[in-house]
Amino acid sequence: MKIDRRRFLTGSAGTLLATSVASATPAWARAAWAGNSSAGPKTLILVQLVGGNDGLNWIVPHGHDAYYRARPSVSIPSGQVLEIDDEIGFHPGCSGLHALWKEGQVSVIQGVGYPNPDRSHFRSMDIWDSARPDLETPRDGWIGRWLANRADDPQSMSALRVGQGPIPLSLMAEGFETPSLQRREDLELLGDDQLADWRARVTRAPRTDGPGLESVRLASRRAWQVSEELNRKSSHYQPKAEYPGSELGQKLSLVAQLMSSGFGTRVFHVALGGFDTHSRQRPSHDALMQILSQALTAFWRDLSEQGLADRVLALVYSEFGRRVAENGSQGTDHGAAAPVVLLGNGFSKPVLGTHPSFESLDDGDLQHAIDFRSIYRTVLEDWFESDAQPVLGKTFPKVDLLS
Amino acid sequence: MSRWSNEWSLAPLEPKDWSRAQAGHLLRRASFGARFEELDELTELGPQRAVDHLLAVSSPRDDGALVDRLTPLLALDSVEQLQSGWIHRMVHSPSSLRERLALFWHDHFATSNAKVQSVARMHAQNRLLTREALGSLRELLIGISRDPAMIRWLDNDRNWKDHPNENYARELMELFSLGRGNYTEQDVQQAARAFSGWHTRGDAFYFDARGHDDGEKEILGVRGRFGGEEAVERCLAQPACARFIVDKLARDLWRPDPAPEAIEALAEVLRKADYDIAAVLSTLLRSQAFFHPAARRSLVKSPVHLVVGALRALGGRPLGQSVAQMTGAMGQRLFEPPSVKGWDGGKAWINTATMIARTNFAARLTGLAGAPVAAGVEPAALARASGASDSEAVADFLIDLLIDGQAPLSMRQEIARAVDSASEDEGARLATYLVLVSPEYQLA
Repeated sequence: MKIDRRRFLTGSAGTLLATSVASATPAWARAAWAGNSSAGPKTLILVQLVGGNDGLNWIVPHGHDAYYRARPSVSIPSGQVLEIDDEIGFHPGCSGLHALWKEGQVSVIQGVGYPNPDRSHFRSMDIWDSARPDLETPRDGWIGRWLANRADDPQSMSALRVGQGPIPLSLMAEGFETPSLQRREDLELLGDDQLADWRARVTRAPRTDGPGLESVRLASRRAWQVSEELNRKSSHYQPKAEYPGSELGQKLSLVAQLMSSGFGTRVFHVALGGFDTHSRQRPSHDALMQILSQALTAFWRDLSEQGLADRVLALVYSEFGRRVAENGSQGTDHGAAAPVVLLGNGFSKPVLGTHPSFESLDDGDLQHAIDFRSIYRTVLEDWFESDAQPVLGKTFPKVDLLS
Repeated sequence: MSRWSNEWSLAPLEPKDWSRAQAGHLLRRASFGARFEELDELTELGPQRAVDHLLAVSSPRDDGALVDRLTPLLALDSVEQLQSGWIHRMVHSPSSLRERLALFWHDHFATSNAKVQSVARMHAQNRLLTREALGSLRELLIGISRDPAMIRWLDNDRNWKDHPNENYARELMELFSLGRGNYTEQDVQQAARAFSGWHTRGDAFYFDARGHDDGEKEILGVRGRFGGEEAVERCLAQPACARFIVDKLARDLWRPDPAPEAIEALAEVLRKADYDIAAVLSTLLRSQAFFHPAARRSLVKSPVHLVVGALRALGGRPLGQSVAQMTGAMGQRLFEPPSVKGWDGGKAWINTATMIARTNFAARLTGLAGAPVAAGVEPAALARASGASDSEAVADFLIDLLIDGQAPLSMRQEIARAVDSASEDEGARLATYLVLVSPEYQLA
């Protein structure tokens, strides 16, 4: 009950409402260039939570009775929530993120989604990655389009995926090879320089017999070149925070290492999977919350110590949230709107937007108030100081991350 | 090129259009690539008998070919052993079309031991997919709905009358039989009720009558007190089903961009044959469209395809689990697909790390660098046995064996130079390595 009062207040005062037209370069974006030890380009880290992260058990609406009524066995008890205020708070496994939030280095955007939400993982991921819900089979991603529109050498390592498996659609663009690695060793070639010379000679001639051959030839030569480049850039990186042993922790440590080696990469992508918690959700989701928070916290502390944090913005998101009511397997099924969390230096708004209403659900799911493309636009315009229009096609109101 | 005017014709290829390169194309798509003697044999048979032969040795009724080499590995209870065991079977099995299709179905009904956590269940699923690889789609769909690995993977063991879990029902429609847009959320919820009570006990399927909802449902426009079998039948009754399956098969075996008319024609073959998969393969693999130049080298080899093909061609015997680890580095860990959607495949196989892994595999396989991954790889001896005597003949032999003789002139010259650059043995290894890392070899 206390919540309805609160929502009314914030809603009427508009202090937490998300939309505004920001004209000047935001303070936190300007600050990125002010730091003396952080020479290098502004960088975005995409942290994708794959499988549909349960936003309600991440940023927990502990002030809402409706949340507890809908989830007799899957909810987080109110006393365990790490409070943001009397309405919401972090999952108890996110103590690191909570501490960073108190320091103003984390901002929470509530109720993010898009119209006509799709409950297929793959379709919804494609929508988030491409920012083009109007296309049935999108071929490129929002970051890919942004990079392809720039005058940069397309061969420079402007985007890099740290992980295994196919390159995420968000980083893809026509005529653009996004490199990918899981561990530094993955890019170490066996054999000596002589073997490298032979390889180069056999693949020197362009292949004119169909488009597939030529693109594979270019990808091979590119991979060999990246490997050599990585070997040349000697790294004096010493982590200045203790990373957890989790895969995500190791990936983020590699991101910090590559940043400190001066690779000049603008966008890194890392993913954490396992969020499709249809059954017995609590143990696995609780563990994921801890893994996520510990890895991000170590990463942020490391970046801060290395003097790199001022030029980093991290965006943590998932393809959808989960249904408000738990299912019969102590789990939750695919839902819609969910929070997005950002890490950066000097956010002046710790929380943006209002919690979606539990009264007006769409087929059992929370409705969004902020389109994810508003966040993309804000990142493109206020962080990267680029024009978002050619990337997003349409105009979306910016998210007000400013004071 | 008038004989290729119909890029999409399903009429059988004429004998006058048959060649050694066509036989190589067929073996690369309907198997994992040619062994040298197979190339001779199929070239000799001509196009129709070549396909007859491939189908016959992999016939679903040929139990002799079903000797299960993986069973002894079960005692070890390790997924790495199961991965290596299957790769071993793919390399040595005479039923290579069956193995190729089993790999297709593993990608289609993608189930990961990362969640199933049972080698026995993964092995049982592999037996199902191998047995029915060229059999009936109906048997496959019913079998996979009752498959204990699948039941755990998609939470159907948590699907009860009182609280249905829709995970399996959704993927049955979205990914296994119909594709998005051919069913509604309502259909998913109703089908979930039909599968309620389809559980497991031990590692076996178990129908829990008390957990099953036997009330009336409406699935895809028809009402009835449906169970899981009827839910599968409702999917099979949709025109979209054959189209969806054939389209996916075509993109795996034929080309990445099949024309909708061709897919509809093949779907009709599948429907008329009451979902007999061998029937649609028989039509596709014989067709002029299958051998059309636009279809050649239009697919990217999967890591397993690449590795198994190289081992078969060079007569290598995989050592321990190193080969399975290598396919993992290239992005494909058997029994551990990244999601229920399987591997993205196609161009998604190609990225920086996977190209480095492919390159390193070639170095290890040929013994040029790194720890060995196979025994018995002796390209110089193979070339000698085929009668190749000078460096150009050795280069031609390797290019013929591994990439159908299709190499640009400059590459052919470099490879002949490589043969000459060291001893007979070392030169042939270097030349083999260079063919294996060429763009030509990455494509199927």
